[in-house]
Amino acid sequence: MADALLELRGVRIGMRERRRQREIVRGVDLAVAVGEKLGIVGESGSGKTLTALSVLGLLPSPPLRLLAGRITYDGRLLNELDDKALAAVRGAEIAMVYQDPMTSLNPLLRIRTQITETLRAHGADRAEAAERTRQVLGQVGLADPERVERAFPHELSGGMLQRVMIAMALAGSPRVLIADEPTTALDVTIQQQILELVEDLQVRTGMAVVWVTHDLGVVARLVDRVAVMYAGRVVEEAATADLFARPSHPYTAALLGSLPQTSTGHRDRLTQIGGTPPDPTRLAAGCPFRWRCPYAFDRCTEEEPPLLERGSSRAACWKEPAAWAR
Amino acid sequence: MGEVILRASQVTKEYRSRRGPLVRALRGVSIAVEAGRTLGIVGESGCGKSTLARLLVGLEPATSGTVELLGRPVAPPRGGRSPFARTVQLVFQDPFSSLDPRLTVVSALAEVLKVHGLATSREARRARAAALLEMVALGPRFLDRYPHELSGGQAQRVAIARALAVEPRLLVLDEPTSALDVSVRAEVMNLLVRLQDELGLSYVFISHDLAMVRHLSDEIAVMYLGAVVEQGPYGPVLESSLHPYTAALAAAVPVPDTTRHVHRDGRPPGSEAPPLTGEPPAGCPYHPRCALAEPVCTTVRPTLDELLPGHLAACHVAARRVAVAPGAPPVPG
Repeated sequence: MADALLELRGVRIGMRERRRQREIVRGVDLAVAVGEKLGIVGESGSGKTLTALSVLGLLPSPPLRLLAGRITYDGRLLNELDDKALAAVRGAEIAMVYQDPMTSLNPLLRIRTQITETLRAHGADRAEAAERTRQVLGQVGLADPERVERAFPHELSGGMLQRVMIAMALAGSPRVLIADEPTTALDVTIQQQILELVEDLQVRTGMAVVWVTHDLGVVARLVDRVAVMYAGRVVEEAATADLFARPSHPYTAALLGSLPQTSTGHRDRLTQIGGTPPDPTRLAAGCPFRWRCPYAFDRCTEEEPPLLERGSSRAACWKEPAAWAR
Repeated sequence: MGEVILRASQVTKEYRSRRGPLVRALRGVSIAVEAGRTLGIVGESGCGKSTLARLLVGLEPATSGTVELLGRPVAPPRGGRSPFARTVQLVFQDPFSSLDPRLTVVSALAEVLKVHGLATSREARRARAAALLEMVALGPRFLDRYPHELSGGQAQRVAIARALAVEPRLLVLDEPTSALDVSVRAEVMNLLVRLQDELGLSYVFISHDLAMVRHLSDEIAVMYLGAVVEQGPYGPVLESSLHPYTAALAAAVPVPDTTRHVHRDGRPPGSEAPPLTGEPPAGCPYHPRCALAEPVCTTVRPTLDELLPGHLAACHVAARRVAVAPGAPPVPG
């Protein structure tokens, strides 16, 4: 994609052991343009969080590392920047929000200190930093920003902390926001406020958004384009409306079918996906979804499908959806 | 009306700490569950739904009010085990933290059978354990597995099998699918429906996942700051809500369907989360967040009244609208 602001090419993440390499993320290509909202969907172990962490060089290393691939932001190769250059990108240009706010805030520092510190590190003077801190805390819908500013993390509820984290991420007016399940632990009412806030900011500033989640409802609500991950790879990528209307990978179709929808009858049987997601480091040859796939045939056991064009979508499946009816 | 398995009447629960304010987790909750039926309980974190679950199974005493199982008052066990354990069992959110990592599946199940004197010999317990696993669609090969050898869905099925070991009449399910991967939630939901049909179990299903609650429940009770604010059959409660809080909660759930997100759903439910502790404001506890609040809402606390047949709500505005035009949906959609 020519107009990609952030682009991942052939990203492989894993461990290098004495004899062999164990990959958890097995070759991911993703791109997000200015003003675009990309969703990365997957279950636990699919590699979605590691993919997100790799962008800013935040992989838990050791043992995990970027084994191969290129991560390009605005023409710069992020994975070859030194720590200092990467630190300048972090927060100021690409900001990240994590799932668990408690572990990403310093328990000994007041909220104000933590946000102004980040801003000062990126060159704001004391007055500017204080002003901006108050402003962003108000923007994320915290009712009493003055009180929150003076509070220590333990004095705030989970929902408030997650909003503080988002305020912190937004304080530097980043061009890309990467959010890893930032609303999963929150109540739906708070989640709604945060989704609205991100949408507002995105419209106003043209910020690009990468939203990592397992919640297809959030995907439908928020993002323009979706990448579905399974066993360390993207298995389908499509515009959000296309994905929901015409899933091109059996896994996507099964996920959609497993949710009770408005059209699902009360207590009707939900579509089960037999089995469990595989461990991406212990995969046999062939398609990793074939064990759970109702449409698998000979070829699926022999060869792992690459992402193939399927209309306006791309899917890693040997069969076209039209041929799914066995 | 069928046989009432569980009835809670005007239950309150207060927690006192040496320092800090009195926390009133439940403020007069009344619910009833009939044989073979499911009561869903929804609400935000801090609304008291998990406290209610613990009271219903007798893990904690109520400060006032009564909980009755099959007409007998529930009290927490003194020392020994609860005489109600044979009637009601609790299933938790995280199966791995509710299973002992050092016990194989068969030992975990046999322990329960032994404690309750349900199978006397080792062989009988193993046979019964295998039968319990079969009920939750797990083969006998799972008998000798440890929890770490199970997937989340399998572990939750073992936890359900263990709850079923004493042949209870009622299961209290506290967020039973929330810790599971999306692709295995359907499996647990289908299992719960099947077990209810086969065994005539009653469920109290507590969850923040409105789609799952709607799917399984016959009745739904919506809780806000320790009180039930709306209650009734699942369809009317979620689709023609009487209470503005229920409407806001339902509107806030992102639907996995892009055709339904053309417009922004619903009204924003207010700018602040409910306070976790301390006293709610005077009048209706929801009024600071409510888009429909009127002067009366700031002074008089509304009672939970049957506004439509079988459909209760605690809201001044809804009560008046129903009285004026009984046919019209009271909360503008």
